[in-house]
Amino acid sequence: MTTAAALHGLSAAGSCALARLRAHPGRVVLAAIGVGVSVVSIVVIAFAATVAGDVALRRDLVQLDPAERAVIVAFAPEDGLDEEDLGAIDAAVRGNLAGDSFAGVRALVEFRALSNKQGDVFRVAGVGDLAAAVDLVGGRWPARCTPQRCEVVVVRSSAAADVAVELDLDPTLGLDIVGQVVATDPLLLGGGFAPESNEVVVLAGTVDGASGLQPLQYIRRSFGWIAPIRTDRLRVSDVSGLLRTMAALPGSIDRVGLEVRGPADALASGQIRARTAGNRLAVPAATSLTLFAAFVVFAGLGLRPDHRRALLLLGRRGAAPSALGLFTVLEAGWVVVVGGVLGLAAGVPAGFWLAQRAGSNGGDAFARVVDSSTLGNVALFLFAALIVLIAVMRAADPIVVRRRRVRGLDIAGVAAAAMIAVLVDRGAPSAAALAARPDTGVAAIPVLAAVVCAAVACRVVPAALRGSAALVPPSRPLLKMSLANSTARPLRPLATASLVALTVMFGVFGLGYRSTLALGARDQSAFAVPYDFRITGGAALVRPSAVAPEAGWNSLAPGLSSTPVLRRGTVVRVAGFSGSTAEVVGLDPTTLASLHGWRADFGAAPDTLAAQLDMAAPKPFGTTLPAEAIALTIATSGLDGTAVSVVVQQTTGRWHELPAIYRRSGDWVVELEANDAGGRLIGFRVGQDIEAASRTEHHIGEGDTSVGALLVTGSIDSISWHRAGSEPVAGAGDPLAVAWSELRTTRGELSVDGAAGVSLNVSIQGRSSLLVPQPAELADPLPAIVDPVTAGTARNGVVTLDSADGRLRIRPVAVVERFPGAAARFAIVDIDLLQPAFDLVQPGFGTANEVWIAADGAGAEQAAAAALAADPQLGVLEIDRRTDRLRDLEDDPLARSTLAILVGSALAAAVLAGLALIVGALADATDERALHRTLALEGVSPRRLVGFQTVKTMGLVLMAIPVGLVGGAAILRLVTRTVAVTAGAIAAEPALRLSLPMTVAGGMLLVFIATAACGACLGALPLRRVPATDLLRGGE
Amino acid sequence: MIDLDDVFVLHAGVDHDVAALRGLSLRVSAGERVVIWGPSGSGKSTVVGVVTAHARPSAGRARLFGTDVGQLDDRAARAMRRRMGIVSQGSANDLLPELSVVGNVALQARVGGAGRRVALRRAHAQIAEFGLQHLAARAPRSLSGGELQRIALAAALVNLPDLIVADEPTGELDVANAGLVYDQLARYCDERGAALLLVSHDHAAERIAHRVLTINDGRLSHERIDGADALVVDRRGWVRLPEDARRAAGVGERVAASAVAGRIRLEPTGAPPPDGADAQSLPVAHPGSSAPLVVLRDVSLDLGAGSVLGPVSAELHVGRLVAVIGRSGSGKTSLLTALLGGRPLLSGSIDRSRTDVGSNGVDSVCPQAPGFAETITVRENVDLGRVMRGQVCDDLYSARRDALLRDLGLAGLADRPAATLSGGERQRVAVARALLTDSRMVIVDEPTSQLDRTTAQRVAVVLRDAARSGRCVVCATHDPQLVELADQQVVLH
Repeated sequence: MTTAAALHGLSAAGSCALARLRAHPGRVVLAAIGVGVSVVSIVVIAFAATVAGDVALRRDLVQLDPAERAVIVAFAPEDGLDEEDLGAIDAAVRGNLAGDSFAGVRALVEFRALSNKQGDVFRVAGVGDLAAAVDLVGGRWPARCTPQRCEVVVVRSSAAADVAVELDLDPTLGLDIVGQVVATDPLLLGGGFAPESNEVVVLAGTVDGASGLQPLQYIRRSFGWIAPIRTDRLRVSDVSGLLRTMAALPGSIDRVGLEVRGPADALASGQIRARTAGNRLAVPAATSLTLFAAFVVFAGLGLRPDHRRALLLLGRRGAAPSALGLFTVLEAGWVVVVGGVLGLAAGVPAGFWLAQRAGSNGGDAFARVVDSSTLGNVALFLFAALIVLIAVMRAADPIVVRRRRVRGLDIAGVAAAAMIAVLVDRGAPSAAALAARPDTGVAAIPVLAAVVCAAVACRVVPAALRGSAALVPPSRPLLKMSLANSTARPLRPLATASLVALTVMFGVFGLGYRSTLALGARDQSAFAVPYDFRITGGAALVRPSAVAPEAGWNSLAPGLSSTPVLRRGTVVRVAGFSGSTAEVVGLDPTTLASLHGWRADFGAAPDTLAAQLDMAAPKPFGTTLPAEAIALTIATSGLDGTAVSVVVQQTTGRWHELPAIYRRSGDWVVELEANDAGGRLIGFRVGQDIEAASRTEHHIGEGDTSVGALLVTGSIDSISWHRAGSEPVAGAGDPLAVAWSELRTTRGELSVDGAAGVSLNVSIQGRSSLLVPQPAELADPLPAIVDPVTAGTARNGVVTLDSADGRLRIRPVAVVERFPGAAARFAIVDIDLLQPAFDLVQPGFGTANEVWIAADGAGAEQAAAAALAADPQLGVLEIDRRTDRLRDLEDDPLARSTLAILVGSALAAAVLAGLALIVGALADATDERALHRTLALEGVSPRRLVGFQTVKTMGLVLMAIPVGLVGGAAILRLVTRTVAVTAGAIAAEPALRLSLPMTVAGGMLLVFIATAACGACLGALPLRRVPATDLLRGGE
Repeated sequence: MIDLDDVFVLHAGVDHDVAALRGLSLRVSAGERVVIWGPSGSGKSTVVGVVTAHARPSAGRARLFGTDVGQLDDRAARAMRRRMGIVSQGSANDLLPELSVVGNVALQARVGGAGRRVALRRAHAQIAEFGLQHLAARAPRSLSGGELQRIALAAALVNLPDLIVADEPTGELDVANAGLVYDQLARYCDERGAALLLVSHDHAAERIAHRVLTINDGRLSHERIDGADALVVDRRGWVRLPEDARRAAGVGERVAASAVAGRIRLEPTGAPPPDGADAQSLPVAHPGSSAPLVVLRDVSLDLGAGSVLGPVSAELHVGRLVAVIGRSGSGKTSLLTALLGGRPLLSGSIDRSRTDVGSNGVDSVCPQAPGFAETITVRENVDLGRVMRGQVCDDLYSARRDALLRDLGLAGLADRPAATLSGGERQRVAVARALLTDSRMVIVDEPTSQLDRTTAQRVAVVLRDAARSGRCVVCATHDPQLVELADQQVVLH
């Protein structure tokens, strides 16, 4: 065949395809809808991911203080800065901080504090664009600033007249106060430039003017440039640039002493979360696309018979393979082009709307969607859809192997199952890996699972239908025949069954994954705050007990119960010198029942654990201090030149050490503090005095090991206590009956001589010797609940935990995977045992540093929250409320977008499945026209014919549903295991656990079945009107 | 041009493989017109498949235009097909409904390598040569069956092929239209010197044939040249004895062969063949009861496109086989539909006897293209007619059913799924289903259109016997054998 003839052949094929499209444009509609919905899905998901990431980032930043939301460049030159230098730096800073991400750059210069003759402390500053940062409330704006004199305004706290500031300035300073202002910009002198509260601030209207003022030329000053980040406009895509700018700024200016501060951590975290969420969206996106692709396949199967007829005809007429290929490509191509255009036409406006609704600029979001790989993904999908359609329209009939029909889908199913096994074996990518790049394996799981599910459905459903038909008695011939004949023309019914199975599978997955993520949010909040409130010292490192409400935590509101918690970091020795960190948490075992975050998969039930943990608390030890005591005197011998302190347990239960002050030979005085009187004297510490200890440690640090140890051989002979009003001198007070015999030490030797005191013989080198009792209850390792790894370090049933202040031995009595409120490696111990155990190692080390509060119901919880917020004293504490955390997690835009996409995908899938059922039933009614007419001729009424066809369709649906359910449960397990990040796109802590709300799932399944029945019935309705004139036409 | 030598073709199936051709040898020279007859399932369509390079021989050699078909790749096979004109049974299969008549014919020229204008010019010329130029702009769906088939033929010939392969091109045509098709085929071959391989059930095709070959069981069995029959002896010596001769000679399953003076003498050595249904054993037709079951009085029907059937008057009696005959499109099926009450009458009336009871008011019907539950067995499909009517399927019925299946040559297929049946087998199963109900009126539409002569004769006899057993069997047909056996003819014009 010549080239010209071949081209004519191709042209003929093209003409045919075009003529067919013109004659039956509606033929491609269904498949085009499938392609279009897929494109809409890709575009909308891209918009959603973009917008949700932006909103989440802004939300994170808005929660920061204003000063933390700005990039601040601070520069404190050693020497002065001339105008030229200042101009160069200013230009460089402004050049770097230009752009839409910043709300301008304000420069300032701030001098160190000065005072006038009246002793008033004031600070001079110059601020650029002054009028934008303050309101003038008196006088006028400063207008003139020369090197000799500069007009300034005074900042006052409010516009009220009674707070006007009177400040006399020495005329030689060259400052003329011309007005008073009130600051309106929280960053006016923020970000490290804030004056002390007793300082008056005077502001010049220019930075260079104030800086160049001759009278202040020798006053040290700092320059600053503050660029607030525009949180209303910030986008995830801007973050990399911002971080680069912040990193590059010092280098680009290259001045010693210049530093740049900004919310780098928050920005990076927001970016990582957005990326992780975006990459995690690969799962629902792949799910949706797989389903839509399945619908495209289904629709393609609808095109197949007619296309193959035309193809066969052209082939019979001698069309060349290239012409046949072109014909198929064009017929499939119409579908893809129409679907693509429709999808983009619908998806872009939908994305715009979504962006606008989320408060973002639709055009900007669109530009970034275009910039991203979205259009590439759309093109890729369209190409894939084209290939799939071509494959479906031209696929060969099944081959026969050993009398069994083997379809391509069987082979693909086995291959997909093998690939899933490989992916599962590979393990889950970390959250960091997910943030770095999309994980192809994760996205592939739904696709592979769909192939397996379809292959299984194609094998199981016909067999199940045949089996069901065999069970139907001969007296129900129509029912029997409808079941047996469901897959008589297998292609379309099997496609319908596969689509139904996939819909159910992804529906179950979507529902289950949504529920799993929602449960994950509850688990996370409960894990972080195991009761309803968790109160810790926060940044101020103030113990909650130090600022507890007057009447105690339980009195904040009715229905509260609080428990102190002691948390310490330790090191578990693993092997040799290696170790891993573990948290030791002391809890009251009786309160474990109040744990919100407990999960059955962690281990035994809390009450069981509590029973294993609960042991009798040690009996009180030490010597009771009289309630009237204000001081103690200690008579010693041989302890001169040492440092002596006493260990006291206060009436609050807190242990601390009180230094003894050396008065004269052998006599020491200890001044008691509040809560000491009435407490207990536990023991003593004898060591080097601070100066000697420092010197010794210095020598040792320098490598001089020749420094000799201090040998202490002495005794504590007696202790007296003193009332208020009496002079605390040795021998003047009342003697304190100390139980000397209880004292023990881990360093040196002790000898006790009846009631006369204790003798100590110890070598001390930069350290001390603690003399405290050792109760029998604490002599053995403490029972503890531990994690499996920590349990694995036990030797002879004992785990040794090291801390900076000593060593603790525990005995694992129960092993659980995780424990709410504790780190991954932990040991949970009865606080009544842990506190004295730690305090005996290091007095004060056993003091509770957290309080957990449980509320008896939502009302009590809200009342407690209100009370905690209302008490100003508690402002220094960090109050973590479980319900607040849960709300934050649930309201997280990334979480909401993920869950919405899952629900949307499931709904779209259900709609498409319903459509497919209607179309399938209609097509089947056409395919089986001959049988239906025969049945009509045999006297089957139209109503029964509709029932016959409906039963046929529903037989497929009902047999496919179990396949989908099993597949859904399997893919849910796979994805939950493989994608270990939360709805908010952070590493799941604790690990996600499966959740499938059976009631909801059952209800949705019933709705689906009912919808399917309606669809099947709708598709069968044309059988009500088999034209009587056509009865004998049979299958024509 | 065609040289098939000892060709075997096996079709792989799920249950078993099928040997469609079993050592068939056939030669067709340029300009030769060969007609192939054969019963259903004998391998006729497979021969067409091999000749058009759609099927590859499992063994043996097939050469077309001097090229071994077994060595052809797909591209070469298509190129070879461009030298052929292929016509199949369903004209609609060869015409794209989206193109006009001239577009369809031109399409053939274009895929053959002609440019658009040239193709259109040739198409118009070809259509004019067939005398169908008035149809050029029409859509295929607006044409009658005969017109469609002639247009398909025109398309097949537009590229001036050297070989025409036609598979049942007149299967759905009346005698007149079939004659036109045969004439055009013969004229083309004569003018172009092209060869023709025509597969058909229609004995009228013989008039254009240089040779008529009969295929049985995948081999050539008979050859007829100028009215003279001869048995075909293949290279291995296989000869198929004619059934009637075998019976007449009492030849069973074994014979002794001997050569005597240039002849081969066969003498039976085993048991004689069992008796079977044949034309000679058929009962003699007799008139039915005097009271008519249905009376048609001046019935007129609107056939659409301005055609009107009738008026037709007839009395249909129980005990009679009634043949409704007429050319294609004359309204045979429409009249049957009207009998079923499915068509309004333009005028006249159709009266049913008030004594017509016991059939639940539902007549038994065998449409031309019957429908089946494809996954259930032939036997279950046959029972369906009774089951749907709520009629008892007892042992007596089972015996009657099995006998009928045997009479129709379906006994061996009773347990096979309907999906595995050929077109002719499906027609016979549908006849069985219609006859096994208790309905007194049995309406049958073209029951032998896909059957070979012998099988069609069987079906005709069964229908006549059913009428004798107390039914009124009304049968639309253009099969002369069936018409010959009918007790009454209703001729439509």
